[in-house]
Order: sequence, then C-alpha cells, then structure tokens
Amino acid sequence: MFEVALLAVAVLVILLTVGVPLPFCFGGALMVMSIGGGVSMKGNLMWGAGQLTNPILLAIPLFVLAGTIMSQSGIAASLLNFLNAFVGHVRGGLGIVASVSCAIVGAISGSGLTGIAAIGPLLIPEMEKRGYPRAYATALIANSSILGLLIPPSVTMIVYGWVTDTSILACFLATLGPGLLVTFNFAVINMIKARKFPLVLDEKLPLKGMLKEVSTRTTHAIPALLMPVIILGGIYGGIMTPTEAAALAVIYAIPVGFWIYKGLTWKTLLASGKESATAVGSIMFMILFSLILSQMFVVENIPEELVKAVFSVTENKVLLLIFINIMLFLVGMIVNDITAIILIAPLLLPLMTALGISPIQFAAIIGVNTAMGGVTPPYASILYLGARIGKVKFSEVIGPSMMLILWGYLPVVILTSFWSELSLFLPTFFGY
Amino acid sequence: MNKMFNYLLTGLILLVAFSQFVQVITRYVFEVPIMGLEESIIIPTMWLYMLGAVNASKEDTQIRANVLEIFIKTERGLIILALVAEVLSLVISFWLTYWAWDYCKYAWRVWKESPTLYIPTFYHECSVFIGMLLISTFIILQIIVKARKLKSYPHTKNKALDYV
Repeated sequence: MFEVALLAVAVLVILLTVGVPLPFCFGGALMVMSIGGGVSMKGNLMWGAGQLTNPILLAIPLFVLAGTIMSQSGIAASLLNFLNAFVGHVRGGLGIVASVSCAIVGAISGSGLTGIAAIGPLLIPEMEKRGYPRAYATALIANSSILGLLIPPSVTMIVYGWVTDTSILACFLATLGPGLLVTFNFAVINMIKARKFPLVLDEKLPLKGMLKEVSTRTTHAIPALLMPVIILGGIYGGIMTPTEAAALAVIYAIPVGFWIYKGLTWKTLLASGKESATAVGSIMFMILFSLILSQMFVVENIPEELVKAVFSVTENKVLLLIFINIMLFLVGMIVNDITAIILIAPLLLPLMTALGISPIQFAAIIGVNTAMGGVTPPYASILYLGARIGKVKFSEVIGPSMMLILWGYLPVVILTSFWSELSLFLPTFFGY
Repeated sequence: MNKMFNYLLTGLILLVAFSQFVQVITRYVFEVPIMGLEESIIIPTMWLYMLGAVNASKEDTQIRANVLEIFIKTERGLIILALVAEVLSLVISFWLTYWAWDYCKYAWRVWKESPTLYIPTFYHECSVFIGMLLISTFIILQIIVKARKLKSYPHTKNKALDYV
C-alpha cells in the first residue's frame, strides 16, 4: 500500500503542476488510492462530508466574511490612520505602519489574504507618494499580510488543531511569538531600507499638537480597535469559542461599517457576501477531498511507514528537522496553507512526536513554513494578489519579497524549529 | 443567474453568521441555549460550502497551483495547458460525481434524522451530489469556452502574459 500511496502523491503533484484545480488534484489521488489500492470511496465520502459539518470549521467562513467586510467598511483605514499618528513623522515609519496594521488585521480576520486586500489599496499609493518604490511597498505589505496566518486567531491553526486533535487555543498561542518576531524583523528591515529612499515625512508636530492629533485619531479608531479586543478577549477570556467570536465579529462589523465608518453599503455587503461565500466554497471543497485522502493514508498506516522509512535513513534530530522544514517549505510553495496542513500534519505528526517535538511546537513550525510558502512562487497567492492590487509586475515584486523572506522569515523559521521556548512559552504560561 | 448566486450566497453566509450570533446571545447573555440550533445550522452551512464551490467553478476561480504555466512562453501554449487541465478535471469530476450519487442514494434510502429536531439529514447530504453535478456542468462549459478560444487563436508566437 505504501507504493500505491506514493503513486497517489505523484499523481497529485503532476495534476498540481498541470494546473488542475486543487480539489480535483486530490480527487485524482483518491482515484489512484481507490482503483489502484482498492480503498473504497463508499464510506469515505460520507465520512468527509460529515467532517465538514463540524462546528469548529464554521469559524472559517465567518472569519473570511469578517475580513471582507472589514476591507470594504473603512475599519482598516481607521486603524491605519491611528497607527500613522505615532510613527508618521519617523523615517521608515509608514513601512512599520504597514507591517503592524497587517498584524492587527490578522488578529481580526484570521486570514492571510485580508491584510493585502484591506491595507494594500490604501497604503501602497500612499507609500509611493511618500517616496517608497512601489514594488517594495507591495512586497512589504504582501509579506506582512501573511502575519494573518500567525497572529491569532488563525484559520490555519483552527484547521491544524482540528486535524491533529490539538487544543486550538494552544496552537494560536504557539504561532503568536513567531508572528510578533516576524513583525519586528520587517520593521527593522524597513528602517534599514528606508535610509536609501528619498522619503517625504510627516511634519513633526509640537508635543501639544501631536497629543491632539493622536487623541482625535484614537477616538475615531476606537470602534475598529474594539474588534480584535472582542475576538481575542472573547476567546482567551474563555467566554466564546473561536467560531462564536468570528460570528460576533461579523455582526459587530456590519453596523460599524454602515453607520460609523460609512464605507459599507447594501451593494458592497452583497458583493462581500458573495465573494466570501465563493472563497469559502472553494476552500471547503478542497478540504473535503484533501481530508479524505489524508484519512485514507492514516487508515492504511502510511504515517507509521513514513516514520520507519525516515528513521532507516537517519535518526539525527537536527538533520531531520532541517529536512522536515525544507519539505514543509516546498509543500507550502506548491499548495496553499490549509491544504498543506491537512495533508502533511497527520502524516508528519508521529515522526515529530518520535523526535520529541510536541504537537504544539509542530503547529508553530508548520505555521511559519506554510506562511513563508504562501509568498514564495509558484503558489504565491498573496504575492499575486499584491501585484494586482499594487499594479506592479509580478517579476518586480519577487526581488524585494525574497529579501524580506530571507531576512524576515527565515531566521524565525530556524528559531521556531530549534528553540522550542519561542513557540511553547505562551502555551505553557496559559497552562496548555 | 449571477444575481441569483449573489443573493443566495450572501443570504446563506449571513444566515450562518446570524445563527451563531443568536447562539452566543442566548447561551451567554440569557443563559438559555436554543435547542437544536446547531443541528439546523448544518443545512445552510453545507449548502453554503457546496454552492460556493459551484460559483467558484462558474467563475473559474477554483484554487490552482499552475506551476507549468511559468515555463510556457506562448499564449497558445497557455490555452492548451488550461484545456488539458479542464479535461483532466472533468474526468475526475465525473468519477467524484458518481460517488456523490452513490452517497445521495444511500442518504435517501436510510433517511436519517437529526437527534433533537428530527430534521432529515438528506436535506444537507444531497448537496454534495447536486454541487458535484453543477460543478461538472460548469467544467464542460469551461472546456467549450477554452476549445473555442484555441480554435480562433492565431498561430503566432506571442510572449506569455505576465501575472498582472
């Protein structure tokens, strides 16, 4: 059966390469397992459809909708204005605003796409006007947008916790440290790069004027700032589940968008609903088949076979961790984060446990790798979207993006893998 | 048809969000959880997932990796590649639709009901088959569109389009 599973993976990769939609790539692999390996689809499809009804997964459509409404409603714009009040006059300050606002947006939407969709159209033209090269501004915001996958609540961590039966709240906390470190790295890189750009800075106001400006923008931003407070406070206060917090975020964002920031209209709400439902549909359709394939692998003991095969080559923990990181990064380059997690997490978890890595630390390792893969071609959906929003050629964004990956992400990937405290400190502190 | 999908999908996703919100209010504010709300949410949720996927196929926005596309230098080559991908998708989609039909028949025969409100689970289980059937139909339409595009395309060696 191990050979049939390998053949199924080979078919999956070929179909992905050709450009077959992801759900059908998994469907092709299922055909191989079913026809070649004699594993019946009869019960498996029913099992997969049953899994989709799990209330945990309901958080995905709700966070996607909250993020889309936030992009349309003016909530993101008020957050930007608020942050800019503090660092607008500092050289490189606008770049820091880009990174931090993407992190805050991530704390509302749980998705990697919302940051670039909400912040990109507002900040890229503004950054260009202030002297940042357009391609650099686009790359910075697209890369920062990925922080949505690391700053809780994160849809990928919900999926990881669900497929590996690990506490979702612990997974959220595991990626928070690496996420904050990436934000810090981007801020530092931006300060260094900004020295070379001919920037136009905000006029530095006297203390009294600055306090007045900060106070005005803070007042305006309070309804927007309450969103992450409601979501994170609700979840970590033990008041609500992530799904309920996501629903509350949607219901809160609608009146705030309509009557406070006035960016939302019936027309944009309808468009947001359709856009979110379509995005959710394509994600869930893919989850259905990737989940069935993953389940087939587990039932056929493929993870155990994999552990044996890997340990027959080497038992050196450092070498294996490097190998696993490279593999996760490559998988993240080819498929999106959710697919990578559904397919890889159940396969590799026994291996990681055998290496003494806890499922919570593995959540952080898989989280940072798949996040990094999300801005690395060929499957760099966030970078493609960034290029479209920034109206720059994709080839122009690649250079600055690679620089950010190299100095921003890569050190964090290494630290997350080899320094367990980075991902385990917060979960341990909160008793997980 | 576009308008119908707009209203249907927006209605479904807002219904799901609102039901969860009602659950939060009744459970935590009034401390009286509504019986059977969770099991009744399953119906709009499954239809939301499947019809959302159908709309993604209709708009040709299903998630793809498109690795080979990077290496193809002519627009005609890209159209041929897209056509091959659609044909492969159709074969797999037919196979999956067959199994979805098998699942639908089973759900009809067994006619299970939810534990609290006795809602027949067939109402959401049949969405997988109907969704797959519609997706297969839209793939056929995509094949026709791409085949026509290929037929009418001049055989010149144009440079491939950039991603933007």
